[in-house]
Amino acid sequence: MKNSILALLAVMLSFSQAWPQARKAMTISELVTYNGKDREQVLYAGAKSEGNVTWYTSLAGASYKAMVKAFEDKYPGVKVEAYRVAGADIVVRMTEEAKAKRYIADTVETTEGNLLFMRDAFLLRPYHSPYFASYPEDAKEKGERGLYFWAIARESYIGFAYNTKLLPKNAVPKNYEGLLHPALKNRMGVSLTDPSYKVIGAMIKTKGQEFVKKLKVQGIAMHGIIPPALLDLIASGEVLASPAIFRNHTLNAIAKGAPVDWVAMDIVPTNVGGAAIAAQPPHPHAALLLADYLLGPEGQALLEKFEYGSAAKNLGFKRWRPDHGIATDKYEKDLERWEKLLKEISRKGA
Amino acid sequence: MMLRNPAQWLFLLTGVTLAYLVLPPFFFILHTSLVTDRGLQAGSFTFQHFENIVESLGDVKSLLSNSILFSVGSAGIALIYGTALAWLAERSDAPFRKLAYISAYVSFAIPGIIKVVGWIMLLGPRAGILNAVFTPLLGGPLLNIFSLQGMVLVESFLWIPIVFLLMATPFRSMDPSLEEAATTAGSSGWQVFRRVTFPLALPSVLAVLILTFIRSLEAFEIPALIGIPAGVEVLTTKIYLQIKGGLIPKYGEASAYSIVLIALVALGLIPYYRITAKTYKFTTISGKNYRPHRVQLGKWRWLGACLMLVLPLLQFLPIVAIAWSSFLPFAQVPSRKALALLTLNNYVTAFNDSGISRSVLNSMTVSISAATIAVIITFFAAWLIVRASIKARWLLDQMAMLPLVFPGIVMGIAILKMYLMLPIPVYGTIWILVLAFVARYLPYGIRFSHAALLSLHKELEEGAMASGASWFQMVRHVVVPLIMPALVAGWIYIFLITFKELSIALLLYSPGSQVVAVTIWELWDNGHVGELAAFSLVITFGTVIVGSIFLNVAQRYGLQD
Repeated sequence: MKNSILALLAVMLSFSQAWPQARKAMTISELVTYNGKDREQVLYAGAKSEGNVTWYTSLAGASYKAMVKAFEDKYPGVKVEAYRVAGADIVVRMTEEAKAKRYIADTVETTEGNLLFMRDAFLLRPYHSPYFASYPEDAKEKGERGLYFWAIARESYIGFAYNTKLLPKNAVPKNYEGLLHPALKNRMGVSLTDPSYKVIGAMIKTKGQEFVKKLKVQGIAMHGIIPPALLDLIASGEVLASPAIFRNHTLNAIAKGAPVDWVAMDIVPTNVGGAAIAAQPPHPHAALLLADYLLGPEGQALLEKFEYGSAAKNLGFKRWRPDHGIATDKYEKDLERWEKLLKEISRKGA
Repeated sequence: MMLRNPAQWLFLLTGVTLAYLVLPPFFFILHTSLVTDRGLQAGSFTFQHFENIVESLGDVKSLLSNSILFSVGSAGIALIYGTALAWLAERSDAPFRKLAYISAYVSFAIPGIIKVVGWIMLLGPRAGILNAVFTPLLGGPLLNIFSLQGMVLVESFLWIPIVFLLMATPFRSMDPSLEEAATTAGSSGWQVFRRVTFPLALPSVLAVLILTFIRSLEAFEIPALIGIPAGVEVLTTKIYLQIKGGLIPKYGEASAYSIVLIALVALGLIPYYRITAKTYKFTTISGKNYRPHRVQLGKWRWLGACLMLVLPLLQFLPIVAIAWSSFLPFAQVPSRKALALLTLNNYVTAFNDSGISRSVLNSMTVSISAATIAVIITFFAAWLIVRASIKARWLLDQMAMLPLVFPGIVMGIAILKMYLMLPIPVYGTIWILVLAFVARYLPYGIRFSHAALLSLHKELEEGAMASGASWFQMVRHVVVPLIMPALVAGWIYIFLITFKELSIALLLYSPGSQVVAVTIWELWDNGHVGELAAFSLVITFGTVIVGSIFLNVAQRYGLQD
């Protein structure tokens, strides 16, 4: 008798464990709104049967690999297939795949400007995540029915980086006005990339266009390399400083012992990346499970280890997202205008 | 059309293959250059992209003069020095010949961007390693790399190895009796070179000139990394910035520019065909048994040795600079303090990736397949161009040369679109990369094969056929063994260069089909120059070993020393 009761209990228990799989399969529209207490179990059970999740991301190398490993460790049986390229390449690829009706991507993590393009091209699907509640409203992109297209999963800040051995302390600027210090004359460099254009935009916003033109006397040299490579030139002493370097890259360099430091200016242009799901994810459970993980405490803690900032944290400086709340074509025109101005004020010749 | 002989069948087969590889991307690029890609008008006909390209040029006069100085200067240095080296290696008793060959091949395996970064580390005006050494001695920097002279020199350093390899082939297979006849008739050494040796090598010289000219209109690493900080703007700088500006690259403008380049290449090929039309002028391999003798340099041997050593040195120096940075946690000039910081951390981090072995395996498969297929196709195409009496054979050369000016980023999208639409199951596999690379590197394959076939006398093939050999037997036992050095050089070049090809790989790889180039891009994009240096050095070492194995195999099967 005792054995039969135990057997019955075991059968009941196994049914209760298998319940999420056994329940009626939800459509993708139902799944993205699902808010039950057993959400994680439902998603994990579904993801396990789907087997894998395809993640299109532009997160930096080491951090996305660590994220893949942490996710796979937490959810055994769900393999992450990551495709990591620049945000613009993700847009191109998803656009072409959608045109050919070949839906491959499940979860997407990339910068906001590119996410806006994808949203406008109907490549993303708004969804619900229990973690959305912990993000401020302006860190989320609203969709229909109370859902969101994405929430900001990581932030990177653009500010002034310099060689600590070569630039005297009293010459380190505290704001954009400080860039006019004589010690910086003909010794600063900028990378000819978006972050530098955003810094010009930030200067116009805080000090006006005339101030930017005044910087011409400082003879800032342009460099055809990306900001972290320019930071290497700063560490070596080839370039003394730059007003457009990422904080996370500088912190990583400092951790390695490089003689560099980073300071925030009047406002800090902020690059943000959001977690979204594709409009037609072939593995919808896994897609949502990964998006939740990126936005949840574990994913956020992991990104913090790589010196990414979080929208939910106050770092003591004023952030500014130049692409936030404006149409993509207006933002593109702004970037082009700032780029033109940067070229006008920069030094011709080494 | 009645297909009466193997040449006609071969023409049809090669033509269809080339058309399949090249024309869909070409039409995509043409279409992209002529339609609007943004806003409500997307898809409608426009010349706007061409107008934007013209407008972006601004001060055309200074741009053109800079561009001409840059391209003519670098091509000139590369051509003169590369040719001298090839002659020394193949026709003189100068020492260090093998070293020169090895360093030429090694140079192809190093990503261009890494080499340029290496040169900046050496010749940066404030913290360049060489400048730090020479400033106390000379009272100033040895050379400020951020200048037009710096651009010309570094660009020529990148080109010397390929000029050397392209020019070595005709020198190697040249019939010495022609030069001996000139000497007997009283010509001096210089006259022999100018009137006999050099004219015989003209197809290779022209091939080099075409490739260098086109590259100078297309390459971006040096104009960006050295030219921009130097304030020296060339055509490519302006165009690159115009294409890259904004959120999403301007594919329309990129395509419009490549259409202009396609027209220029087509124009450039006309004088090439005129000059090489009379193929008998360039035949240096005939039925006579000979082996080109080596000129005894005598008391000038030491000068030959120095010149031979400059090539390895030019490749070696930037490698030393990047090797130095690969052992450091951050960039700095050599000092006692820096020595104390040496670490293997960059190597550990760069290779701390479970997917790396799969990437290496994928890259090997892709590069070996792409190099082999491209060399086979271009060999047959070149044979038809040189030998067949089919009127439309020039089409094969034009088609094979087209991808030379396809911008990588646009070609990537074209191939992506093509295989998303076609019911050929390569999308998401490594084979899409193979097909893309075969198409991309056809121009290099065709120039290696074409120049080599021009040097081969027709009588050898006729003799084989008259002796009862079938067409395939003649090709297999006569033509292929005689031009094997050029085929192997082309194969190795494509093998090494596809290993690091970025622009196409990034858009076409898929989870599971990741290749080494993607890791290189990731490390560069993350700004980990030390890790990138560590990774590139190991990969370079690996690809050179694999390249050497193939070279040895090829030598066993007919390639001369």
